[in-house]
Amino acid sequence: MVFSSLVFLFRFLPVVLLIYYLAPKQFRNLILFLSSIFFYAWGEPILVCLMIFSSILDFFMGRGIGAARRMGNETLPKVFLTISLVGNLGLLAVFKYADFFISSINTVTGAEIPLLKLALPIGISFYTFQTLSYTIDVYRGQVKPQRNFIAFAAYVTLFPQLIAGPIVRYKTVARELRRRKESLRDFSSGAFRFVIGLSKKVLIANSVGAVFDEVAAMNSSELSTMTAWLGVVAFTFQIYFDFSGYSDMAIGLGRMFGFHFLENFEHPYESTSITEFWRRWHISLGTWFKEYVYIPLGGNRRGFKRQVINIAIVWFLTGMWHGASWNFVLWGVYYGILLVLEKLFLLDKLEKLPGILTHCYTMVLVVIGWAFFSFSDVKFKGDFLSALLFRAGGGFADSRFVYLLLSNLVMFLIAAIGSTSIPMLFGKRVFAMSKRKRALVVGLFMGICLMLSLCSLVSDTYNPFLYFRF
Amino acid sequence: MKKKVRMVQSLVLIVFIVLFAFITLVTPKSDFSEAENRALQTRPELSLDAVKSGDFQTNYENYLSDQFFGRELFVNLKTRGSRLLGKKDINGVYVGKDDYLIEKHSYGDYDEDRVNSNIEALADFMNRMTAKYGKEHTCLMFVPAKDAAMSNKLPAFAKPLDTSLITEKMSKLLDDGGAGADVMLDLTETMKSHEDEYIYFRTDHHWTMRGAYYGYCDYAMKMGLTLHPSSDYDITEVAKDFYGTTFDKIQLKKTPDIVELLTLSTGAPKVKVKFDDDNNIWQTLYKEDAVNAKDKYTYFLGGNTAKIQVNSNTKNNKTLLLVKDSFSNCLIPFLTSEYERIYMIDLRYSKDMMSVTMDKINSKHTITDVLVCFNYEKFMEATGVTLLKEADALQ
Repeated sequence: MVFSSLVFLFRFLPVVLLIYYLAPKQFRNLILFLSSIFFYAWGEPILVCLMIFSSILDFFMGRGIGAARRMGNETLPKVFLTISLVGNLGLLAVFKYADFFISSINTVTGAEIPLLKLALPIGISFYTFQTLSYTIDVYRGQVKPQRNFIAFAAYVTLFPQLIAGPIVRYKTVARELRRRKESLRDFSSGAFRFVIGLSKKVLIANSVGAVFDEVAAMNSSELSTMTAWLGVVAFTFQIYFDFSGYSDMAIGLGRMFGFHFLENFEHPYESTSITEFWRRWHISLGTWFKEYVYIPLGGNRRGFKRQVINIAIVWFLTGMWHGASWNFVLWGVYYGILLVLEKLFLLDKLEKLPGILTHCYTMVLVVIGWAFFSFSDVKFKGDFLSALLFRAGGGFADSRFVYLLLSNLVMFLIAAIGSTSIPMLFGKRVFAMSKRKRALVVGLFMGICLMLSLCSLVSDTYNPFLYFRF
Repeated sequence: MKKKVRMVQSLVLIVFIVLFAFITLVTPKSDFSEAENRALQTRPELSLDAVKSGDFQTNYENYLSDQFFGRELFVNLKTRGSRLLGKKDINGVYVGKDDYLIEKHSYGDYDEDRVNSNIEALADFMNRMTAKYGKEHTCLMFVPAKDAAMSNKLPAFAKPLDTSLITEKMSKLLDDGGAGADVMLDLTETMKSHEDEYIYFRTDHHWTMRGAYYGYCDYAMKMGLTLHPSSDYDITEVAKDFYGTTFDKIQLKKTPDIVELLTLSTGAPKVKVKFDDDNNIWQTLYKEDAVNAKDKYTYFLGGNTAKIQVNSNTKNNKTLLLVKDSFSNCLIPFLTSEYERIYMIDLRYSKDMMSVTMDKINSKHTITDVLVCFNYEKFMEATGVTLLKEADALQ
């Protein structure tokens, strides 16, 4: 099920909210667990078993590590952690990467190993990383093993962040799983956040996404260089509003149920370096890799050479995490190289430049990055690439480019402004108003956003979620 | 007092989801939308298999969306909002010049495999038919969609879908297969040369009878049939206030269409029309009460039927097999004065292999001419074109 659907908004959410708040506190985790299973099974009626399996496995591995520790056993915790790692990453490898490896091997060696053709379970990359954060942290002694299976299963399956992040580490919500205090304050800010996220997704991401899709579907003979780049810029906005909108909705829903997830985006398109960009984009993924891969590998504490290798590993994995396809690997490696270059000398240079230049530098590189990234969606890959590289069948610019630009100019402007912190400044001005006025303005704003989103949801057939596939 | 702001914030969302949840529960449901002229998804049956395959979930979501209270109003609001933002095309429809609403087509909308297999199946069929009935009795006619035919009505800088990919591929297959590319009649240029006339409806994707007349002229010239000048026809308005399928997608009311009928002033041939699986025999090609229906294009032959047989009092013993989509419905009146019998097949609704159908026809009357007439876009998405494949089994 997706948040931006009629069935979520007008069936699932009201029913779950009603039951949740009517139920006594001790049943609330159970209610979240059951409704999350329903939520996931709506889209994956069969593969929901995988997720339940992961929950059971990690619950018992966590318990095992705890019990072994209490008995003073040093080897068993290692064994349990390994089982958890192999189990979870094994499922991920089989369902997400097996065919990719098989076809890569086939290409290189000329072998003809048949593909498994397994369907990718929705959100497997997200929940696998979440449950791993649990067993690893239990192993490290940073959190106590969860004794209540329902509480643990509610964490793994928690529908707000289940299928497209943010990747909530167990320790972030450990305390709230045991006892949390739902409050009007949290509910109201959560509701507001949800509406913002829904609008970002439905009103902006879907509109600019349609532009990218149109460009991607054009055939090479009618594609001009400017059209191709316009498509990539559209994708740049689509992926930000799609993904950060989803995170907003997740964070908002979490708050409505009394959870506090960490922020996942901090206006990444305002960054003045790639290093900064990755501190602001998909923060929960960056944190995960940093905490569970980069630092255990030694981080920057073992000399520069080793640091470069570590960066390379992390960025290769980051690329792979996004999808089983070479363009994602390329995209990850691209960022790895940029980050190393910035560490070597670029950052120092950038600091001396005026902000506008460093901002342009960052955005140009980010947009190029999305060009790599979007290739899995582009049918005529080779032609699309040559169009981007000024060798287009349709010349430098054509009337299609002018048409797409003119027809979507206002939406692009809204997207550009919306991805900066300018809307926040308006928010602050509203905040300074009298309470009465504020209630009116905020209420009206939310109402309008909801009605506009509803108009789009009812009339559109186009409503994909990009990060679903990861 | 801060509480007040928080209450408002929370209540807006709660009231919104509860209100619409309630409305979607209690509003009456229907299985057909008169306004959109299509069948609506009804509440799906709950079964284990349907849940396992995900069909139940998909159908339930469609059900909610299709049966959404005041759907047309929401679509209309969305259209207005998009127009305010300067969008020139909304929900796949260009808001064009002179109140023309024009469907936007791009190759991304079509399943590449289906397009290719349709082209191959049709080319193969044409090659076999030409070998059997001769070039002078076989024709493949392609009708352009409105975006290509009336590209002067498109918003500035917008381009129609380039259908030359289809035509080129088809030509090659026809040349290789022996029929020759010239059995194909592409009406794009002809229609373009009349782009300032009322040849397509403003709010519907079909051509008007005026448009079909130019299609007929090209066909008649190619096949050596009688060519009546347009002055031979009386034009009568049979219906007005017509808002067609293109309008349905964006619900933006502009000038409505009228339906006009062209009849030979010397008198049209008398006809008997027999519909598949229906014992009703019409004495006319037109459905008079369609003028009060939503889809007034159904005035012509009453809409889509798998198989229709038209007998006319034109006694020349010519029997035409016409493989068609809905565009041909208003072309037929021009053909009745040229063929004694016309057998029409709409492959999207027919289930029989073409060879079986042709055997059946031939057992009564020998087919003398074959015409395949498709609209490009309908052809690219049409199911059932592969039914043409095994037609060589005949005789």
